[in-house]
Amino acid sequence: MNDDPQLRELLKESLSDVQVPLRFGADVWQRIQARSEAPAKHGWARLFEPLFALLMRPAFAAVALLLAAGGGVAVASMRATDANEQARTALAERHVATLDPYARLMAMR
Amino acid sequence: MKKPILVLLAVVAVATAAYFACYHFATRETRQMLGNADNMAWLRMEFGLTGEQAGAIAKLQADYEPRCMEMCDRIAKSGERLGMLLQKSTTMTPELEAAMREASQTQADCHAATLAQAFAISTHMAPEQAVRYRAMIAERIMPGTLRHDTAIHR
Repeated sequence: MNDDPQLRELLKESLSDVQVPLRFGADVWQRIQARSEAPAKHGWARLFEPLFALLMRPAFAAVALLLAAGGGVAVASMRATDANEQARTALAERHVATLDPYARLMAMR
Repeated sequence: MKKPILVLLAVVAVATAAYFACYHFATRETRQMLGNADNMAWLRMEFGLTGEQAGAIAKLQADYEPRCMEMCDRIAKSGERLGMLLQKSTTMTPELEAAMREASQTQADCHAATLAQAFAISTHMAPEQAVRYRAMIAERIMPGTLRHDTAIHR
């Protein structure tokens, strides 16, 4: 990557009042060159870039955490309802086995 | 790049923690009841029994236990006899017929005893709970007998 005289002129004009370090221009070009030579990001990294950009904003990160907590609670509630229903059925069967000899013999098998 | 990954990990951790905490809390009672060998806790909760009602039912159950064991023995013996005769018979014999009658009689006696015990237990419950309890037992020992729609717990 070569030094661009037009860009150098433009920078000089826009930063006329600012005292820039001696090697400022060279450093900038060096960084641009280093970035352009850096290996291209993986597909997955590019895919998640917008999400990562959102997560960098505190408000979105807080919303994501709240949604995660809510999602966890919702899924757990659904699964707990099923588990409780199964447990109640098992407990009812267990009670019946204390009354019904056939149910008891089945349970003992 | 590191910070968003940390946030993402925190999101996953929060979701997982919320899931396990909620599941553990919501199933705590039933897990305790399943782990308890005494089934009275379930009966007490399911049919809203008072301490006095639960005590009376526990006594009924303790008195019924030897009779239930005796019936289990009877079922095993009649089943064994029927199985043996079925294996060695090639035609219907009076002996096999008698064994089948005995097995049927044993089943009828067991159902009657079970229902009698369920009725006795239900007398210690609130009327609406007693109806639900009797329906639950009848449905389990003789499935499909009750055709009308009752709010039974399956």
